[in-house]
Amino acid sequence: MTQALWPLLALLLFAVQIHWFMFFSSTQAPDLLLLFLLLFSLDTGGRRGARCGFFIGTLQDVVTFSFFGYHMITRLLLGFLIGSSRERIFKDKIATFFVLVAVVSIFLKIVTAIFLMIYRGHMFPWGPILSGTLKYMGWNLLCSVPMWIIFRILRDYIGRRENPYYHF
Amino acid sequence: MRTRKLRAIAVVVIILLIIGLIKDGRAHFPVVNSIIMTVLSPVNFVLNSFGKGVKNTGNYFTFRSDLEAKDAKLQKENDNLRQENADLIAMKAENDRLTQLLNFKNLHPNLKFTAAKVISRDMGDFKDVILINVGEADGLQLNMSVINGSGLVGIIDGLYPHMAKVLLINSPKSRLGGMNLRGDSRVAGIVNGIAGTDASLEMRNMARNADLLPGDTVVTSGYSGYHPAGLIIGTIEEVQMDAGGLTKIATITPAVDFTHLEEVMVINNFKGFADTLKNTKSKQSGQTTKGGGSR
Repeated sequence: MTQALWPLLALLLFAVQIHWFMFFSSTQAPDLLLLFLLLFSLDTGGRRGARCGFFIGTLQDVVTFSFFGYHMITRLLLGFLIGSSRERIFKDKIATFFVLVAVVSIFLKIVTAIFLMIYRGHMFPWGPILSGTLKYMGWNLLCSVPMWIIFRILRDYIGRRENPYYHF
Repeated sequence: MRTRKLRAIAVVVIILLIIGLIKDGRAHFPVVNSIIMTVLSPVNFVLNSFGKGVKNTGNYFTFRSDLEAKDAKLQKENDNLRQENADLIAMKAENDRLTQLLNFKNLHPNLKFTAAKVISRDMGDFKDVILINVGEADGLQLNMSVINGSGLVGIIDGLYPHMAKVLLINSPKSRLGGMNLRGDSRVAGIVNGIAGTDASLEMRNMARNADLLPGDTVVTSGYSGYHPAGLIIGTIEEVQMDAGGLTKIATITPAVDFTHLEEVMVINNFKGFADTLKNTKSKQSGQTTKGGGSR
């Protein structure tokens, strides 16, 4: 039952993300759902990461609907890849998470730009894309510390509720 | 004997000095006076400094609590003033935006508007959709134009009872009829977004000899049947030929700042030929039309 807290947290993060502009006068909001996906995948592995990515992607696709399926596929693949590689990286170190956030932010923006270029059939100027990517990465890195803490608190809480012998 | 004499002389001198002092004051003994003052001045200085120090220390402790109270009061007053200042700046900014909207409304007396607030954005990677706080219950319909004081913002693309989804014109999925406003040009084309909020718009499907210049204003043509003509889209930044060299492409800087959208208005009484066609088709086939990207 306490596992239901994960989707609730995802929904809460989505709500915060889409209302971010009301609290901060910024042209860019952090991708809190992406941070959540990275943490969840690192913690639970490829299969559950892919499931989480699919859920998050569906949520974003259903709400935006401009390119239905794009978020679903990218998030699913990200969840799977990050989750599958968790044994090969120091997943419990925050420094690893920082690097992962930076790399995934850049990767996602590049994928989006390439996708749109293919869709439009011609090249875009890279300047605005680069500045947007830097802002996106900056916000994501800034929010990665509170997200790391929130995730750990919730994970430990759920772990204790689910398993009395849980100890981290 | 001698000592007695000396004592007597000394007593006499002292008595004379005292009498002199009493009678005419010290000015009559400048040498003695200066000697006394010279001897006493360091002592005076030390005592004076010490006294001042003691007094200042006393004052420090006496007034410290007063100063702290005053400081706290001033700090509070400063905080209040800062907050008031911030509120006033926010109110001024809101006032400017609403004045702009009102001006737009006054310039288009034949159009009716529903005011709305932006309640959500940044919902996905493309950042081409926003949610506004009015919906079907407020009389909104699909494909209605959404504007702000600067120009066209987007189109109603999804409807809910009390909110609506707006597809911004900078979306790669958006297509709308645009026209060069310059009187001797009037070139029409199709305007679409490129890559969300980070990039500009482009106008395509124009003849290779189309008269377009950087700095020209592009407005809605009205040919799409969904928007009223004359809504400002943006300013041409660059004109170039397409890859095949057959048509021209203009890069447009949007008039609307999509990154700071807060209030918008929905044009709710425009009936273009698209609606007429839609109604006719619906009557003929009994089918309903869904909202989509291309207009």
